[in-house]
Amino acid sequence: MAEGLWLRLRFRGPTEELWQALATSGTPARRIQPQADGLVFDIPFHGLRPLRGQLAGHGRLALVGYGGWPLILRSLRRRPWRAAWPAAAFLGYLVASSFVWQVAVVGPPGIPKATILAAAKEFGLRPGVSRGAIDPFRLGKRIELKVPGLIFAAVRLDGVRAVVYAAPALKPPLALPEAARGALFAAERGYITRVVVLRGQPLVKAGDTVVRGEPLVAPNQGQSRGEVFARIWRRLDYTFPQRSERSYASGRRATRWYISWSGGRKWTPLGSAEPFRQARRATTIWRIPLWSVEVARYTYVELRTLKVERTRTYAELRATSMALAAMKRSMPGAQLLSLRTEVRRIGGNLQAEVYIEAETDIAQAKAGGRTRD
Amino acid sequence: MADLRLGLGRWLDLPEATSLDLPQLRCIGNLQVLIENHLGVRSFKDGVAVVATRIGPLEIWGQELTVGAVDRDAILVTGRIEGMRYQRG
Repeated sequence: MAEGLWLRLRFRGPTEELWQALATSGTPARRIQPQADGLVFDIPFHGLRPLRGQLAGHGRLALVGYGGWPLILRSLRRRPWRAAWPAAAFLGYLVASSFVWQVAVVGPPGIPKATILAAAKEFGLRPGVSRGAIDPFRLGKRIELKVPGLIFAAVRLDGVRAVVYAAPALKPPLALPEAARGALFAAERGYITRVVVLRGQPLVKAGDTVVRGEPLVAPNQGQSRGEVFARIWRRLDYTFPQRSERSYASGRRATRWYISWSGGRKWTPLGSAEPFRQARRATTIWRIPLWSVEVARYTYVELRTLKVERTRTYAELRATSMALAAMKRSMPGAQLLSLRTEVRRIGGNLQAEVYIEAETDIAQAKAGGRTRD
Repeated sequence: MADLRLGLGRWLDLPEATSLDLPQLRCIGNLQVLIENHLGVRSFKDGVAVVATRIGPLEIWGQELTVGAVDRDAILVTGRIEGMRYQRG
């Protein structure tokens, strides 16, 4: 019993019942010690169920400890080499599952799957590549920008399978008939999420993808009006020099006088050895225009040079802030859905890429500005 | 009945413990006593263990007594055993 899993139990109740139960069930017990209200003893794990069956209704059993090895581990302890194959298989599974073994493209019919696969391969997504070497978000955006005719691409790692989800951009009609003047057009490409038409006939519905210039609302009479909300994606790039110098005013000032006359100027000494490099203000004290004589005073401000070492965090925060400001300027009223900033160190610069996903009204009259009611 | 079994055992040249189904006790000093061919523990408290046998309860007393093991065949009592005796059945 010592080699198997054993339980140390406390029995509270009439001990005669326990002795009877042990004898009836045939459960071997060890280290039996008397207690004030019962006994404490060890039994093998497999003896617990028959013992409880025999003790039903007579006294209470409580677990106070356990020890030993479960049966399978006891067997492995005697023959450890038996664990070699499962361990090797598990190790193989771990190694194999850290790679991508299949690349698939999911999208509606007509999507250039071969082109997408080629683009994915060019950016490193191919069978046999390590999962850790793939950044799905960045890869999706790269494919989206690389493959013409795509409005959206995303990469999802599903186990050892990489799936590229892609949505094609619909081609705008070559020309609208003359009667279609007054229509609303897409200001940029996007994925339609909501269409609110106040005047005119909607040409798109939620779930459609549109490209820039595609008609959204056809006019019935006069200028059509409405809002077409779409999910749009933008990538903004910013570059920051990693090291730079910046001047700042230390707060120290110095005054210098001069007297000038026709053909000459005489300065007083600066009165300081500090590098006061910039004059900020000149104040004329006394002037005689007839003789062209002038006495004036210059106030110098000390400018010191500060060497700046920019970090990736600085670049990330600064780029994010600039991107949000740019988005607010170019798309007032847009709702930010997601934002992601990536910073890379290239040469002596920090290059930040900001990917923005937002929802905004993309309807605009082609001839004029955006139409809003 | 016991005489018949004893005689049959002697005729078959069997050990008397086997033929009479008597309890067998093996002691190691005053530290352990192994009781084979028992009928179970009748009681175990206050430094006294009572083991049922065919010829009557066997009372074992001492200090720090522990039933080291019990199963269908044998009971091991450990501790500082001070005495043993058969009670009148």
